[in-house]
Amino acid sequence: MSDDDELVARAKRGDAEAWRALYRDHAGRLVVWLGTRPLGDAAVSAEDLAAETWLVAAEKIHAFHGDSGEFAGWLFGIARKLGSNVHRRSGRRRTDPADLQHLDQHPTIPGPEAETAVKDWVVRLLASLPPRERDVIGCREVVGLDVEATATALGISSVAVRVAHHRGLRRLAARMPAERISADV
Amino acid sequence: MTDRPIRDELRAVVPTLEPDEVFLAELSARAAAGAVGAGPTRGGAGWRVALAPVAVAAVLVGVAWLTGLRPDGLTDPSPAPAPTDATAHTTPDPTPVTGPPGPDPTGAAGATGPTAGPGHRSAVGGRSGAPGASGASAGADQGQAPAQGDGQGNGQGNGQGNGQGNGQANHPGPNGHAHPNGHANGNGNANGNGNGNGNGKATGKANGHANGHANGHANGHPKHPPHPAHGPGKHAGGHPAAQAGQDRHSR
Repeated sequence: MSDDDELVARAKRGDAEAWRALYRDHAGRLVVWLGTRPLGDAAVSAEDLAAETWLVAAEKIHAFHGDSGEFAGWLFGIARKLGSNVHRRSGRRRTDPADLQHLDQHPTIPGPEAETAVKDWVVRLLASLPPRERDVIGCREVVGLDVEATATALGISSVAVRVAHHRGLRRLAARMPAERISADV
Repeated sequence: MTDRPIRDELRAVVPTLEPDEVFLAELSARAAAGAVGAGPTRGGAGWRVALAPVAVAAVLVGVAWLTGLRPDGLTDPSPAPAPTDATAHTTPDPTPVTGPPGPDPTGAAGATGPTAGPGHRSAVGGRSGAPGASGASAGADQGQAPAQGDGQGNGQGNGQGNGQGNGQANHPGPNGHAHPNGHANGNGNANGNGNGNGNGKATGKANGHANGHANGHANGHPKHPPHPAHGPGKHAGGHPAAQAGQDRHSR
């Protein structure tokens, strides 16, 4: 990793404005990317996991060395590990989602999810991929991380990222028309 | 480039999220606390680096010390078969033997086996009584010896013991047989892991240290003479209770 740039150095010192800038740069796509991954626990949302990721990142920022571009891969790596913890925990403590019919009885406030969330058919399409290809496609195509940041986030090599990316796109090309048709209907 | 439409379709509209002020303050506080805590962490790492070779050296010294306790009898590490009967002087029998009802009601035969004098690393077989065995032994034994015994002082001891002791055979008797009226006097410290079993048949493991003096008279019948290979001073003669009574057994 390279030396810290000014933004990361200030964030290490606890500068609130530096954290605000980092949050603006990465929080949105972190939530979107987490939305493409199955968490396994209905009680934990992508927003919850993203908030926890930020808190862990703030605690461990002194161990990070790199610029603000590399910060994205490091941050996504924390989110991936926390997501794995949630997934394992869900196996031991299963949480059943509520019945959708009963949810209609409660008032809901529309949030920004409809505007920011990934299209449903994209989520279904990604769910049909193998986990590594799903994660790589999610990082590279859905939220636009580069190869190095994706490799850092997923804990794999850049070559593995490229291979999984290529295979995932080929698989998606074969499955996408059907998904689009079912989504349009 | 046929993937381009697919990639365009996959791309999500990433919003720019603004952090909550409280959440932002929490992030800043945690980062500042982490920066403060990073200094002592490096110092702690230095401590650990210094502590690791010290711990290794301590373990090595301990092993060397334990090795130094072993007597010269290390050349005979094989289990010593126990005599089974007074008439069978030359055939060792590793099976449990039944000796005369000894004065030790606790039947700590397994414990007395490993503490039976210098040269015994392991004792398999009965250690019941053997009154009149030449030479009392006192030694420091260490080891583990699972044993079985009954209330009559009959037992089976399997174990390993390292002993140091000075035994004196006052009356070795002819052909390595114990003199019926031999005196067994010995002083020493017995450190070892012994196995002692109480009344009835019991199988267990007793690890402990047996520290004590073995002073006793061996007056009795040579039911279990010492094995010729052992020579005088190998077996603890005398009253088994003289040793077993001073042994600490932990089960």
